[in-house]
Amino acid sequence: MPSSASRRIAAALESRTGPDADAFRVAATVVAMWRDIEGQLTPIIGQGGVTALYGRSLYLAGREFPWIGSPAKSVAATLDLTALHGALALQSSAIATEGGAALLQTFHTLLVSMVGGALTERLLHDVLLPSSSGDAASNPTT
Amino acid sequence: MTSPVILTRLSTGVTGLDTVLGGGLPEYSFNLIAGPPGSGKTTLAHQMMFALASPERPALYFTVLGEPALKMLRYQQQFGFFDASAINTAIRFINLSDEAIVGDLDLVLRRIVDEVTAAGPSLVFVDSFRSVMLAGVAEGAATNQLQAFVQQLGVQMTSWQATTFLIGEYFDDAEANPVFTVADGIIWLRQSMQRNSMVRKLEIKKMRGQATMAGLHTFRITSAGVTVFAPTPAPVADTGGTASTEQVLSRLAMGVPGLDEMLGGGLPNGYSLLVAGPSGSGKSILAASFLAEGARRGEHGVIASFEQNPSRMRNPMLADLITSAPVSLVDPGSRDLSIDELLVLLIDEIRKTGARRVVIDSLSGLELALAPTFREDFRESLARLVFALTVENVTVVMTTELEDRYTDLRFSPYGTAFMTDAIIVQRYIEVDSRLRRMMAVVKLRGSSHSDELREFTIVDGQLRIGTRLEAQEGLLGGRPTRQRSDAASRAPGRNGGDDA
Repeated sequence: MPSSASRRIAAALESRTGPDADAFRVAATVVAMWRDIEGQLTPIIGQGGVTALYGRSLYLAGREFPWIGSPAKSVAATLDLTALHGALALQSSAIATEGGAALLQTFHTLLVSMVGGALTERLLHDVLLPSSSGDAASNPTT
Repeated sequence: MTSPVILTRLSTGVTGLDTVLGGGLPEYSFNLIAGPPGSGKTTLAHQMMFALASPERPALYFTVLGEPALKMLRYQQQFGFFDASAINTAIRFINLSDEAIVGDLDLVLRRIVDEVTAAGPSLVFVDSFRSVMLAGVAEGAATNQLQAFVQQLGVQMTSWQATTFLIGEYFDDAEANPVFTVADGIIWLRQSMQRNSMVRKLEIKKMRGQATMAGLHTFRITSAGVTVFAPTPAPVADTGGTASTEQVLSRLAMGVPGLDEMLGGGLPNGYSLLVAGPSGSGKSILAASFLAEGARRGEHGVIASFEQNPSRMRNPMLADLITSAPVSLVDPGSRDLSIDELLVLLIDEIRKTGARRVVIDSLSGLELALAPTFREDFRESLARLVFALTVENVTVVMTTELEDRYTDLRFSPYGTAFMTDAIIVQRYIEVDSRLRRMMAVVKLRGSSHSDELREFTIVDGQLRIGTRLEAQEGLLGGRPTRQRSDAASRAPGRNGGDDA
């Protein structure tokens, strides 16, 4: 049974992609959500901290979705969201949605394990809010 | 016309710290929280920040190099003071590691000033400031540049009406450092190691504009955060007379039939009584009876127990009293205790419950619970303990282990006899090939008392005081002999209490 956070992430993603979104739109939405997370967390834990957590999330989610990519071989300075966008866009819409949500969920779980649920909720609250307008496709980030 | 500016003092939210600071932290002051790694600097800073920050008085917390911000949040969020709902409303964290790693102090300062200008915070924290300085050194920044940086930062923060805290790792407070000169306040945290014991200590090395409490003050970090054990008032010279004769208006019943009579009518209110005796002689039972008698009379009691496991009280009567609440148990819980910490716990409980009777069972256990560094001046610490409790207007019974020695006559260990108002001694004696117990009141300041050596027994967990041990002499030698018949009929006498 999916957790409450998992449902919220899926709902936020679905709300931002809108109905009948193709894989490209899903990829753009997932990347937009990562940009939001980056914008929210970088001032607090630094670019290096966010990049390290992203790399770990890729590694963990990659076990179930090997196509999603793998962490950079060397210590990355920034999030390689172009690679993520490319990987998602190559999948079917359903698989891209599932994999993108799983990556976000993994990141959420990782952050909860680090700083607790209350603080994670505080930090990611705005990112996980379902969008009222579904703006990802009109704001591609790659 | 000149009227001095009244400095507002901020309450730090750290128990005991405001007292040590001399009334709180001056608003708009520029402070350094310094100490070696692991001494509690970041925890202290966070605790103050969460106490002080509000949407109306926002805080900016700059993290530089040093402890990664993620790990810092991971460890800080476990403390009781950490309020996640304050993040991004009252408190904003800003990571400066990218600027610091370049080693450009101007860049770091500019970023701090930009953020402060944009946010207008009332509280600014820079953690760790040492990292900023080391970054400067890496770039070959000269000392005067560093000093200029610190001074600029100080001026900027004060001008922006922000109370500022620089958190930094420093090992040597004797080192000449421009930060020490510029700072209005320096809170220095230390960890004192002796044998296998570690004691945390805090010192206010400097706090402009107010009189702080000098010296090292012990503190502890628990899940609730930092608690500083501010010292109680020091005893004045010759504190032995803790309660003057005029003050002794009433007496407290001891709860042991016959003992009040031996004490000339009970233990005078506000007195401290030392019950000394060998292991198993009944000291704790006497102390428990004192509390039970108080409970019967509706007086709350407090006991500080240093048994191996206070939750498994050997005395069922006392265990019942603690369970049913007329007696509060103060259990310091951990070792490496300081007298100041015990006093804070005791006085808190006394004030909370309005207790009139206090028991410390035992001083021997207390000595073992103290950190080795405090054992060296145990006698002085006890004097402070007794004095501080007397100021609280409670009547204190303390027990102490006293090894039976039949070659000399001693009434208390540690040379503590002079600091208590009353002493009862219990001893074992051998009579007719039986081990029997006797007790005597050897001191009761400013009051007459019995001079009899009375036999007593322990029946069903209660003391039963018997008669004077008649027809025996040499009792204090442990092996009495029968008196000759002409001396046996001498009447019991009373002491005049001239040892005051």
